[in-house]
Amino acid sequence: MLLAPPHKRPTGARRTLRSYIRINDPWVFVLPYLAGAAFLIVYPVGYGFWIGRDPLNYLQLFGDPTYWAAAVNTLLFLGVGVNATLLLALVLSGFFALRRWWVKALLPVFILPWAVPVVSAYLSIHWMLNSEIGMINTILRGIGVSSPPEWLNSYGWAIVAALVSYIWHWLPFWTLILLAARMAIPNDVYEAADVDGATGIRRLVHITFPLLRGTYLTSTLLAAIWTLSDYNTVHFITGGAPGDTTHVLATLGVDYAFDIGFIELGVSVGLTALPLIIILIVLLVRRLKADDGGLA
Amino acid sequence: MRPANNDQVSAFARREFLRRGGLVAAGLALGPALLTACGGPGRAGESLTVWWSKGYYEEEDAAAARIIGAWSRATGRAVNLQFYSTPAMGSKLTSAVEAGRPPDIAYHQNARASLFAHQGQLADVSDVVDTLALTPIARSASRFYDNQRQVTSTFATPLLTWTIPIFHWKSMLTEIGLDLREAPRNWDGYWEFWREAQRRADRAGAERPPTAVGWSLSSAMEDTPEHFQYVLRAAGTALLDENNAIDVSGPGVRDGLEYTLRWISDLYSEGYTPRDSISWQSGGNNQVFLNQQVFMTPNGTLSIPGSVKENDPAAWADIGTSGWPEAVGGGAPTALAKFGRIMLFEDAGRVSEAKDLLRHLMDPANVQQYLEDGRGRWYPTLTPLTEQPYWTDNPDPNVRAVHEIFGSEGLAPDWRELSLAYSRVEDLNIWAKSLTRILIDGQDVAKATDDALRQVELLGRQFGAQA
Amino acid sequence: MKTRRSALSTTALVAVGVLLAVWTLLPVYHMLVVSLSPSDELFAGRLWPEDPTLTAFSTVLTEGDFTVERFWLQLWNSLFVAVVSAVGVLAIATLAAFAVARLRPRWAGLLTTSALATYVIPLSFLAIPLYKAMANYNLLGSQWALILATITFGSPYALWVLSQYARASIPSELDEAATIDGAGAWRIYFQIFLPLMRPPMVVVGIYAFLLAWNEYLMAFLFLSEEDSMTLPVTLGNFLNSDQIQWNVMMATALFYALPPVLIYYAFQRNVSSGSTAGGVKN
Repeated sequence: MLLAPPHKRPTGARRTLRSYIRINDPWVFVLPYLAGAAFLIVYPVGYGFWIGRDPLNYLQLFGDPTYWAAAVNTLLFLGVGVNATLLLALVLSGFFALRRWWVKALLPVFILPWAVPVVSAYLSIHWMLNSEIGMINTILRGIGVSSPPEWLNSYGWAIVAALVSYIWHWLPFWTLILLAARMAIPNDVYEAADVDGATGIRRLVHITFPLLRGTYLTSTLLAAIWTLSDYNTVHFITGGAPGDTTHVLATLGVDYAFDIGFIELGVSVGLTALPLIIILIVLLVRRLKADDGGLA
Repeated sequence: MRPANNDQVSAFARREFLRRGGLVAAGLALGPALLTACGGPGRAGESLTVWWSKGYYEEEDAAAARIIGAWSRATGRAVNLQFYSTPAMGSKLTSAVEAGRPPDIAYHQNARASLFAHQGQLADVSDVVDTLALTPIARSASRFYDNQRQVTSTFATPLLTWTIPIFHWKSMLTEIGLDLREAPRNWDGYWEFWREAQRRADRAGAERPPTAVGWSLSSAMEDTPEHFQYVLRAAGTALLDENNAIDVSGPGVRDGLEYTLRWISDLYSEGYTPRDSISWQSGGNNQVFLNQQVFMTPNGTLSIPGSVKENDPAAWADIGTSGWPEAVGGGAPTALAKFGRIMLFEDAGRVSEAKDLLRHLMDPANVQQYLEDGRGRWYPTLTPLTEQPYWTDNPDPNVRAVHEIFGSEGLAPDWRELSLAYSRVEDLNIWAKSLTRILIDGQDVAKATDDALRQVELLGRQFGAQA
Repeated sequence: MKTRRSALSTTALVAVGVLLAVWTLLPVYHMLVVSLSPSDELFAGRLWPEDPTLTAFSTVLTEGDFTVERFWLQLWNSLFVAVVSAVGVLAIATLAAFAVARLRPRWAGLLTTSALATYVIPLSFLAIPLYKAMANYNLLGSQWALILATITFGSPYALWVLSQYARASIPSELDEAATIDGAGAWRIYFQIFLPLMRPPMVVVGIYAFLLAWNEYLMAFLFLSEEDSMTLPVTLGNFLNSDQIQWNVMMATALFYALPPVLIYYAFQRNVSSGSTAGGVKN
């Protein structure tokens, strides 16, 4: 039977079986999730599309250089920010998997950027980057750099500053995810490898990485999707300055919707990311299907 | 063995599966609908909802609560009063209006009234406002165009007003042998005075010599368009016609804009405002001023001296407040007035009660009480109040300086307060973007002027319906 | 379990550790410097305030300023919202992950796919539609609005992490052995599945906790009274005027970062204790 729990039942006890099956149905286990989705996802998402229905708004956006600058910056965040974060997280997950007391002691410290409220942390970084009185340039001058960069005053450095701040905030989270994935690799896989004489780097390349590949790729795709809605980083680090050159779609859209009060235009900015998101979700679904075989 | 691999699916089980799945789906779809039906508006018996811009001082909020509480007791009408921070309240109002759940009354310090009026959200409050003894400028800044009803009328009530004075450190000038009282009042001479201050401080060889002016050029600061407009108007530019519609064809508009763009970009490129003023965020100029990195900065309200008054009386006494210099070609100094307004929302459905509370809020004694608990940071919009000793003879020299500015000939409402189209110009950071293109991309000022004018004209046409 | 030697020398590892600590802590240190600075010394460009003072911290703890007058109440609100959200996400996602990864119904793929479709509109753009939904359900002003939103938008991701882990590292022999013993799905879920899922549950729990803990926009939109607000809203209120009390704001933020770190510290054992599944063998 399709709805049977993961074991076969003798066909004889049909009457009691029926009532028994109900409670053990897979349906029952996903019911709470489906309820939440029906109440709070289907309606708002549908309504979101409805708000962004006017084609004129898209025409206006596509004629605006600020929009295109934001689109390019968004791609920078996806291409550079996300990948740099995930690569670093992969390396660091190996570091934190080491069984040394001081490495373990460092871990709770390391998650601080994730735990500190982003508004304050990013505003603090904004002031650190001040070219005259910021801590970064004070340190640089202290070690003999005579004219350190004016971090936030030109597009190039400002977008770099925003990207680095993004990495700072998100690195702990993805490191923990990859660390958990590493921990999920059954020991017997390693033991078998030991028997085959694979140690050190070889073990890393031939066993750990292939097994982490699925999680790594899926995390990258999800990080990309979330980054599309990351408003805080750019809003508080650069605020779009200088001259609205460092916006991303999320800041531009949210500013239009909330700061200016043009909701439809703002939501339209968000919806222009849709082709990108759909590609990412399709890739993600493919990945998940590929994972279905699993390890076990 | 995995249950999903079970291939022996009987037709019966499949039907059963579909049936049950259908039931679950129907239930889930019906749920939100039912909940929505149960939670319908039905607001007649509920309390009146008031959203109020959070004050800078605790006493301000207490005063608002006291005044509204008195009305509530007198009328027996319950009021649900909530305080929200000014920038965040914009988001909240936007969401609430979109969701069809606006408050009955909102007091907000941002110029959102023109937008909400345009969208047909606001109740016409002419009958209340006509009876108030408003200053002519405050009255002129309370009329907006409603694009739904296609009328221009009074859609907001100015509770208070403020301007953007210039603050400076007296002692910093004294140290280099200068005094603002001796500075020229003409436009060029005045600014040359501040440049001279910076040069003298440079020669004195301080470890970190201060910069002349804290002038905002950043697209991330609301101060930027304010500072910009001061120069624009000093240069004699008139962007709005007598109906508050954008008109770029007027004489001198192009020249005035070009002058402004050149003047501000020169100030920056010649190093008379901090390098970071192009990337400041909210509070950027306040902070460099309080750090004494600049001699002076223009800033809205009296929040700068107010922030040090209690903790550092010496610093407070050292800060001078004054108006702007004469216009570029001579003539009265510009002084921009901005407004904090009370709006009544039509959709909340209880306009007449809300109007009753509005009358109470605009009672001169109540307004005075609210402003005094704001420690004179704001300025009244009611003529009788402006004549009271609290404003004319306040022991605080900063309050007296502001009183003088409000009595000056050049006082005019900020264009943002009058025109939705001009608000768009500021909201889309057209000024800051032009400055950035000149200063960072090296664009020619004349070209930047033409580009900006084109965009302004376009926005004017887009929102041109407001006659 | 053997300790596996890394090819890198200990010196290199220590260097990585130091670098990592500096990278992580520099902005936090800067926040500390700002919070220790008296008002007239904020952002003065020093590495350590000339005249450090704990005033900002005591102001926060004693609610000694208008800006933080409800600090403890709002800290409690944050804790309540974050804990309930985390528990909710864990309950919903472990149940669904169990169904998807262990019971493996035909529609498992469809469910995970549609769960990911949740993210089709970036969350920051859903604030207004969600506000309208909450208004329809009469949940505006209630902390449950914030909790439900967090649970709904945290669950798809949690479902993915948990089902991946469940597929990859719990041997199916465990289920089969239990099935032969006659255990029903619910017993397997409680007695076998949940205990083995501890490591990813800690990570997902912290994720959901922080999602609610640091949420600003939805907290501000959905809650109405200052007494029911969470602390991020108060942190946002510091930006009310352009005259910002930076030191009190940073002190509040530093206090606010402590509970998640302590909670993580308390559960850390469960994450890095090695492969639980590997330890269970038949």
